[in-house]
Amino acid sequence: MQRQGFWTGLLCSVSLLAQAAVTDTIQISDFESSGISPAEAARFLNQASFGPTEEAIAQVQADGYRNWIRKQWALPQSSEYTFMQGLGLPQDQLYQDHRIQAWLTYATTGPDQLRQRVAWALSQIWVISDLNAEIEARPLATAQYYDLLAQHAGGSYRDLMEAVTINPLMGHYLSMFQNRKPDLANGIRADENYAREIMQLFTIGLVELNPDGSVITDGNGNPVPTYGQVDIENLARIFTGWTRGNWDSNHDGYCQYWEFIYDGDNTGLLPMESCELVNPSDSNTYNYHDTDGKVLFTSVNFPAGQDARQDLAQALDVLFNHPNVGPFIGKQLIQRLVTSNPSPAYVQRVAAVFDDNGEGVRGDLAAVVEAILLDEEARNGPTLLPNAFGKLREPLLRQIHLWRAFHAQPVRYGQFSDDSSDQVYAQTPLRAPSVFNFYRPDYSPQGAISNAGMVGPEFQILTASLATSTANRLLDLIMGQWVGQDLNEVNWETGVVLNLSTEFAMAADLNTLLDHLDLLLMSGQMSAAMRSTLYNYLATFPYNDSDPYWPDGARRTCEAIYLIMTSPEYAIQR
Amino acid sequence: MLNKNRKHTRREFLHRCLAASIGSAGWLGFGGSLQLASAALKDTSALPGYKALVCLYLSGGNDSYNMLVPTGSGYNTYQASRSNLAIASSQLHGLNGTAHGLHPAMPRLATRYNQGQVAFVNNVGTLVVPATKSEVLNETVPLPKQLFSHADQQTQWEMTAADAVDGRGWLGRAADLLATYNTSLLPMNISLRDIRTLQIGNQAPYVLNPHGLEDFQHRHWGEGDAARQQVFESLQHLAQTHPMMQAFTQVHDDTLAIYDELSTDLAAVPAIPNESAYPAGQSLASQLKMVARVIKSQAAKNTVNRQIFMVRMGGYDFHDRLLNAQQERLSIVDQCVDAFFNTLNSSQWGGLGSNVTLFSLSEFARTLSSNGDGSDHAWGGVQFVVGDAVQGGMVGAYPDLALGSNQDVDGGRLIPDIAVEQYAATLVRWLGLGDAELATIFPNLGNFNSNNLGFLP
Repeated sequence: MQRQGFWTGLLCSVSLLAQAAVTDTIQISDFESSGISPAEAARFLNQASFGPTEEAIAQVQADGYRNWIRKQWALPQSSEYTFMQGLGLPQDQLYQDHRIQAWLTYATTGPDQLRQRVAWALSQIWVISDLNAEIEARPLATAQYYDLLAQHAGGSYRDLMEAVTINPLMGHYLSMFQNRKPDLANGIRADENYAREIMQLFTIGLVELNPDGSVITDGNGNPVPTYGQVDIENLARIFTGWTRGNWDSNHDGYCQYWEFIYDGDNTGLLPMESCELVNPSDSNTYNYHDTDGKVLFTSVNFPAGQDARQDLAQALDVLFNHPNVGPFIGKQLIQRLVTSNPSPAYVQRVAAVFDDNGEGVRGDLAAVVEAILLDEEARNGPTLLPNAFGKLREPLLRQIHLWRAFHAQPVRYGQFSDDSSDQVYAQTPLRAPSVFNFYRPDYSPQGAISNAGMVGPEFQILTASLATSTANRLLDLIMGQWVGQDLNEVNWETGVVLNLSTEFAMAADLNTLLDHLDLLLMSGQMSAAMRSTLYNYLATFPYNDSDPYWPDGARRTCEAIYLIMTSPEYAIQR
Repeated sequence: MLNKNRKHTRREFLHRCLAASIGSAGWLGFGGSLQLASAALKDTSALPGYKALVCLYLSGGNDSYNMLVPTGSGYNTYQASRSNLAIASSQLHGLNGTAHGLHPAMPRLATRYNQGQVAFVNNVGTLVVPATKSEVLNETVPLPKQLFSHADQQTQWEMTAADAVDGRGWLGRAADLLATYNTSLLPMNISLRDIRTLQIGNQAPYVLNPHGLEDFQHRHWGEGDAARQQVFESLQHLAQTHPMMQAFTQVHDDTLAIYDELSTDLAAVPAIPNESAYPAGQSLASQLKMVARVIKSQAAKNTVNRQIFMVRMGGYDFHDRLLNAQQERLSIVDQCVDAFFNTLNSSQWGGLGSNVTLFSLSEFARTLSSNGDGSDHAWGGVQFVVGDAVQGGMVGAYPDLALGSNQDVDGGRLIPDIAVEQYAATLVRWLGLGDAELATIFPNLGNFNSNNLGFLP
């Protein structure tokens, strides 16, 4: 309600500002061609990739935003599964740490940055976590799950829904795997876990939404729920009858529902299958799909006798076509990529593209992502909404930003590695504490943010202790961490160093260095006060350091990067 | 120079709040903040001694009707309802004077119960008003929203009145009203895990790493760290109009100030005498050991008279493999809670066991009926309260576990007899709150027959 208040208050001034922006002061960039400044390109790359490099900035300038986006989708997908297979280890020696290496590698160096960045956003909506033992034991399948998100990141949301729903790791995580039809005589009901979360978190949310994301209320001012317990129970029955893939490998063509052979990752690598082929004389081959009729949302009938696949397809169609999906998912993608507090109009524009990509197609994620990134609010937010636009950078993405900007190299372990990001950042890919992700999209920390009626999801993991450990990790990854450094001096947490030779040379002239760092780290948004404070401090270090530990310019460079990356002006991506 | 006189910061902050609240609708929106600000300046020398509440948060919905189980005539009903989830009666630990037994994994808690240090609060859960089965099924009374959903039931357990959405939880609200008890910089609410609504009041809880306080290493990195720290601080405090930048800076300021004080305090705490009694490698053990250390370091200070801790343990969402998973989880709880009170009552700690009360919080119990090898989200459940101050015993009637009973809305989801508000009010009353204050924290408390369940003095 606070958020609505915030936007009601601002709406008028925003639209005035926006009008002024279009007609007067702001040059709306022509997305088809260049005319994009390096700073604009860098700002775009903070939203559309894991962070700018000088090369990427030049590419965006050359392509224009829209062409860059479309060329990105056309690139071959970086595959975590392929990465892990390529390590040349026997399958029983592959661990989740190797999957983390794959993620760090492609976030830092993958050419398909946009696809990987959107996959990262989707992994915070369609959450599974390797804190779950069934998932932890299947690192290859976990990598494959992430690949699935990346594969569908520019595809159809309906296809993504189906791929994840029958994915065996999601099946384990939210217990649709081997979900069975009710046996009321014995007090057994269908498992409701997946039925509840696919509605609450993955598609429609708890309450009916207007196209701009605002909540629909009834005559008494109460939010209108999207579903009730009856719907959950019916959907739970719809999602019955699914077990491991390849179930008939050694059972004469009959499905043995409860079969659970531990075979390392393999069970997790095949999509779940329904169990239609049963041997009437063998109770182990019982079909556990509930074939009685079901009803969703009081009026959508699922006729009796449909098999598991028919029921599942119909249910996913119903959810996919619910008008909530556009604003509900669209707004969360905006929050992950661009800004925590999008205006209702921004949400509505994105939701409209979700509903129809312009060619009559619903749920086209490539079109949705393009709409998010090319939107006037994304491109000109700092001018349109100077005190509302932006988001707290995710702590793990600060590290990747650093590594990308300065062409990091994994010198200690041979691969980009990180054994403790969950402890220092409370953030590791596919390792959230619960299905509710690392933070909730509506988290509003007490103080300046809640007083302004805003939300700041990522603040949920910026606690006093995490603020400290995050800064300390950055210090460890920056100070003395350059290519050519003695291996004994290289940090143990990641084993990664930075290629800073360009910056060391620039440091002979502090203005050159600060221009460069401002562009790569802050998209040219560093305030004059921040710049002069840094300048005065850095000037106390001579370019030629008398301490042999520091190559020429190294002290200035490292101090500057650390102080920038721990500052409030940097921390809020705008 | 920004760090100079840091210990005055909070006082200045409160003065600023007082000034701001006069002209700001935002502050007036939080009833009681004016009171807080003015009261915080009072002399506190006459206040009573140290008390701490420890919330043991079992996330995921503990299957508590497999934790406290009927042993007498009720056992057959239990067994029939729970089907393949039932625990054999021979494995339960007896509780003197009751027709109930405790889970096989909890012998130590059973012993403490028999010594009068544990209360079990029966069938407590989220309610707006007392409700019968027909009222629930016909929806003729207001009901908690989104029953059986983790996030929403956690939120309602933490906020208690779903309609009063101001972002604060009841432990946070209690701390706001108890602010006069402490003058330390350290927030009254401390989380050993994460920030949850439960502990959010006018300020967020302090999150303490259970493995030890960590300072900003840039204050200690090589030569020139003082100059670096000064620049670091300058960059934090450049004038900013963006609320998110202001919030970021606030986190840093609080972090530094508290570190300076608490690290000094903790350095003086002796080693935990019964260290080996805590299960190795368990997060809950680390969390409770750090709570014990903080209590030892703060209890004797006249600047700290009330503290509220939250420790949290996940893994209670037993949709699958319930019997094994719950055995493993509850065994850790049993060992940790027992070791924790033994630490508090050790001579090194000076016998603080009656100054500390630990209570469980889990968002719901689980369906009595089985889903094959687990149970699903339900409603009312059993919570436990432990400590030397606790007046041990059974609180409230243990419910009828028959499927289809007058308390079962569907599949063994039981309508609570006791509201979260009643349980919570009894706990924070012990910290020093009176009827009027409890009524402001819990707007729906008056809907129920008692605001004091009597398990604490």
